Amino acid sequence: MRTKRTAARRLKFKDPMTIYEAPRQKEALLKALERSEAIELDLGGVPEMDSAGFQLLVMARREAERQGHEVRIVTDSAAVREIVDFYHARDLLALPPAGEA
Amino acid sequence: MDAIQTVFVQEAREQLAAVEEGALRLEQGERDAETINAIFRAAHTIKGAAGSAELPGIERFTHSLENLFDRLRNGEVAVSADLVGVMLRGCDHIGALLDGVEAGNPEPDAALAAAGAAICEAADRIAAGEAPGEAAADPEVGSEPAAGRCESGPEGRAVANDCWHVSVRFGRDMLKNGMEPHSFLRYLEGQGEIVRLTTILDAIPAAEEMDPETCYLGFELDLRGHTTKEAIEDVFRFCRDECTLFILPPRSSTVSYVTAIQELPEETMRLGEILVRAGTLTAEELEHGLAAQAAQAGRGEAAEPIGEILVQAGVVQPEVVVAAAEKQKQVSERKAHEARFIRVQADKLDQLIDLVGELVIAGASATLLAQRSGHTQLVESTSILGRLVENIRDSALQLRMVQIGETFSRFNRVVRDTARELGKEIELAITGAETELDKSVVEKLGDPLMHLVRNAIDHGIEPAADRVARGKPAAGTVRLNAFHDSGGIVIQVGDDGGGLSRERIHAKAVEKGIIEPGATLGEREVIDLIFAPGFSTVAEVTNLSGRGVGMDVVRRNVQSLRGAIDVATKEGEGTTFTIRLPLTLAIIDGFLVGVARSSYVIPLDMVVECVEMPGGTGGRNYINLRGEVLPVVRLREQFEVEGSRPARENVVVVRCNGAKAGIVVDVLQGECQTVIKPLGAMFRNLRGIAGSTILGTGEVSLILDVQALVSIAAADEGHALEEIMKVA
Repeated sequence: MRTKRTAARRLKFKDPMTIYEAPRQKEALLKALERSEAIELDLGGVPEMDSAGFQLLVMARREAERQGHEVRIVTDSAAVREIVDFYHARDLLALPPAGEA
Repeated sequence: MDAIQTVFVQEAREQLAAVEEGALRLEQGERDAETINAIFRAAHTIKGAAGSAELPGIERFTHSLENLFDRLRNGEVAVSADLVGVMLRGCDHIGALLDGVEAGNPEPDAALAAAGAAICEAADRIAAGEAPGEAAADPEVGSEPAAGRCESGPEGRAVANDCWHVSVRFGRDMLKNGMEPHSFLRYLEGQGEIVRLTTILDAIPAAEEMDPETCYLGFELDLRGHTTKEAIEDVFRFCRDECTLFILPPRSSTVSYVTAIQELPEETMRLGEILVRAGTLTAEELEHGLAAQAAQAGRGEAAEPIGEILVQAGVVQPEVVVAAAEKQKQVSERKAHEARFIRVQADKLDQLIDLVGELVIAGASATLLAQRSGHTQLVESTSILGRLVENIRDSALQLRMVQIGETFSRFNRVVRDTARELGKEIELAITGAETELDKSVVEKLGDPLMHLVRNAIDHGIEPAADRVARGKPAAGTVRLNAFHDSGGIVIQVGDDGGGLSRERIHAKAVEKGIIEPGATLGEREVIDLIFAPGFSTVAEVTNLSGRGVGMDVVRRNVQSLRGAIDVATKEGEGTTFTIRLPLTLAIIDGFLVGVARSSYVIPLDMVVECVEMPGGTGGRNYINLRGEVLPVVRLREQFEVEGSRPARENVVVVRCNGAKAGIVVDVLQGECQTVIKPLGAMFRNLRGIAGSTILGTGEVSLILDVQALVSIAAADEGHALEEIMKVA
């Protein structure tokens, strides 16, 4: 699996990840998962995240696992960290360790 | 001994350490449910594993201990000195049985069996003697597993958890209605501190069916604070109609937890496990709740699923249901444990490290060839390769790193036992337990540490009466401390006892013929005499120290690990031994320097800076480094290298044990990864050389023992000073 890492597709989110953007972002995530076996999510520019956005991340990780693909969150923002940490889901989403944005 | 038994012995020893630690904690007054449960679980695991390893002797013995622990956790037996004594003796006995297994005698000999029987009898006596009359009167109940007699009323026992427990499953349309679960929970924080929180994500369906605008979230959380049920309900007022909400006050009964769990949409066992893992309930409380409920069911009272139908139909007994549930729990717990650790044989790891060492050498040679060839792309690709090798090296070495805490905590028992034997009151204070160091170093450190700790207890700490007379607390303290310091690890063993007496050491050294009666020695030199072979200050040989293994052996052990030991003492206030060790014994980052045609490696961690040797120093052994006097060692002279000095020399400034010194060399050749190869026995007495290594060119290079060189430099400087003083 390691060899695929170099060929990972990087997906960058710059908009808020809230219920308003969730339907569009869900499509984008699923489409990206269809096209490549490994996705790197760059959430460094996400200014806002709510529970809908959080659920999307969980869904993406689970769907990837189901297909034998990989979704990795490589960069996160303060907004992402805030909600993920509050939900005690850092390990679940395999977020990069704190302070390494 | 077959493979299963090998694994069993190893695991049993770990569990045994847990029992022992628990017993010591009980003794110190920590009598919470978690401690007692941990003891019980460990004993239970040993018993079970002994059964599968076909060691009935150990299984039987552990079983009788387990009975005692079981009564303990049900509150039928109180913690007493006798109880802790039996527990510790039991641990020792299991340890002895394990030794027997390792030696190839799975069944204990007569003496050991008799000792075991005596301990069992003592355990039974304690279990029976203090048990409430009711339980003792009914032996059948007493021999049943915990579940059979744990209920104490229709509602069952209260849990130990002193927090409000809130279970909430938010409504599907929450988000669409513009309500955000996160905000509600943040608002809840106004009522107290959320100490535990588990996000329940079970309701999120597969990607296709998942509606991104629907809320699937649920939470199990524990809230600590002075609040009321109404106040918590109020937080959820705006979404109250949409969500499922359970609020359990602190110390609710186990049954009410179980009832709430079963009302929630997730599967009962799964949710129960989540709560146990989060720490809301202990495994035992969950078990108790289930059992109490099952018991109610058995009496025809209202209760829900979990084998209830089976129970009512009389197909199975309630205990069986609980036992099955417990089994399920154990399986999942073990799985979680396995996912996090893999057992690997130590020699496989060593082999890996050796291979990595060869890889580093081969890599260095490839890099060198590439550079000579002048082929840019080749140089580039070898440099990438070099970086990867470096990463592999670091990861491989990391595999062998273990925390020193495990070694330290073994001394709890040593301190307890020896202090008791001597009639002293001594506490052990451990700091820096999380400091990591090479496993092979840890293993070899056990004996020297044991000796130092015993010395501290036996010779260091004074009898309580003397301490009080000196205005010190009656209880003495032995400290174990570890921390990282410039590429090495420092381990300290200290006590707040009487300190070392210079007069007594001096007198003793004269008596033993180590020094001449009239010899005048500096303070340091006197103290260092304790490391001399054949030195021991205590007149009578006690059981503890003074077994002929002196401080010289400790020092030799430490030196064999390329380390050093040092002592600081103040009369009346205490003594601290400081051991400095290199982090690893295998591969280091080195700094390559050259003198004439030979090259030497200085451990990079010790290099502070490099400067050009200032001219006009003549034959003096110090230089002026920005106004600071820096003693220097000329490698050319130290190792008697042939050839004349070049026009320009360089000084590598190194730091070791807080002292700085310069090493004068011809050329600086840069950093290199260094695989340490030990020198043969022939070279053991060489001063200033720590080992050898092979360079990329295939040449052999010597690794400098910086510490020895620094002390040589300091000593030379001292002699020079004396010469000057004499002249003056």
